[in-house]
Amino acid sequence: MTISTEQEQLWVLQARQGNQEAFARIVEAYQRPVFNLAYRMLGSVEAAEDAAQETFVRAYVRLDSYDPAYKLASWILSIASHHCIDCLRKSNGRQVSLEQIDGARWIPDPRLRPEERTMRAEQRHEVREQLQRLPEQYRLVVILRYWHDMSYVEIARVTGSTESAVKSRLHRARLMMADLLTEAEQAASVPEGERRLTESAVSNRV
Amino acid sequence: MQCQTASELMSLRLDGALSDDEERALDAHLAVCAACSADWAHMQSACDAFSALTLAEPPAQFAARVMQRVQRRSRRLSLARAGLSVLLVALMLSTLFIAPLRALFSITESVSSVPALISTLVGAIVGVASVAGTVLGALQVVLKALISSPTWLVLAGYLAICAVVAVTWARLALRRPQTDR
Ligand SMILES: [Zn+2]
Repeated sequence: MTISTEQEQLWVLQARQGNQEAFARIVEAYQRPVFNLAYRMLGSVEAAEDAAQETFVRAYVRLDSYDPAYKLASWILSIASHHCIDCLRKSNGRQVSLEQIDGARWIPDPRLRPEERTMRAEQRHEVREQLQRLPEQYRLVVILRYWHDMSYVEIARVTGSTESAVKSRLHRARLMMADLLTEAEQAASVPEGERRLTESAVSNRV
Repeated sequence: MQCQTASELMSLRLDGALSDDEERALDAHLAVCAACSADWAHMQSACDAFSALTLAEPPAQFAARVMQRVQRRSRRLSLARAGLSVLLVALMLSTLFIAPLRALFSITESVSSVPALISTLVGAIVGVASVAGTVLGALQVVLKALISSPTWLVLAGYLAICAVVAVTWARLALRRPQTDR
């Protein structure tokens, strides 16, 4: 996806004057990243498509507030991020404040640390599932870091937080993810013989 | 180095964000701390798994459906604007016609004296005509401004101005019949 900034700014200018053709070009250019962000955040194709569509509609309505000093992609993804977080909060009904999450220390469970292990290819689908178990703000930074290849500064701008908050969320997200994946792996497919072995390894460690 | 610091550095290393000094310090800690080097292997494999996930394709016709939604939304927006302008005009009309209406009411009250009736009637007609002229002019300006207004902020400005004008007019119009008596 290589679109020149000049081309992009021209589209924005035309779309602001009500040219929907120009806006359609913007949608085509950014549908993939926006859909993927929503898909990873919300976990289902239907919810993701709806959220991604709504993101573009909001971008169109608010096009006047876009500051051309920033990347158009960052601006659109920022709208998408906020909308997805809103969707999740509405559907969950629970309100966990970010201060609560950031303030709490994630303590890695030592029993979930076998001496040596590597991620197998068939575990990838588990990654997708476990990602949904991360707190939404953690999931968001992971998604922006890994699927959108963003720097700390860009993630901070998109999520409306600071660079140090981004670093610490990524750190905690990685620790949690490591534990969740191991947990899932142990729960899912450990043959009886091996299970006894693992259990004895665990009791040895404790 | 404390294990907590080492853990933070590991995460930064995965992003390639460590200085040479920090790299060396982390390696030194990992060499002597079994718990941290287990964590490190662990974190690495979790992040390999992240990287291995591929991008999903948006559903077919996604862009077309977005544009349909954009069209619906902007139609709704312009409807709302039109509704607002009708409301504004109605507001102005109602205040502008207060004076002539008052005059008409006073006609029914003083229907017994004929000269008074004629003069009030003429006054009312002249009032309505002058008001109608002003209203038409104002209507044109307001509608033009509303249709070409680029943002809601400008629209809100118009709304405020119209409200002020309407209130001022209402006050003036309500005062006049009282001074007539
Ligand atoms: Zn350590």
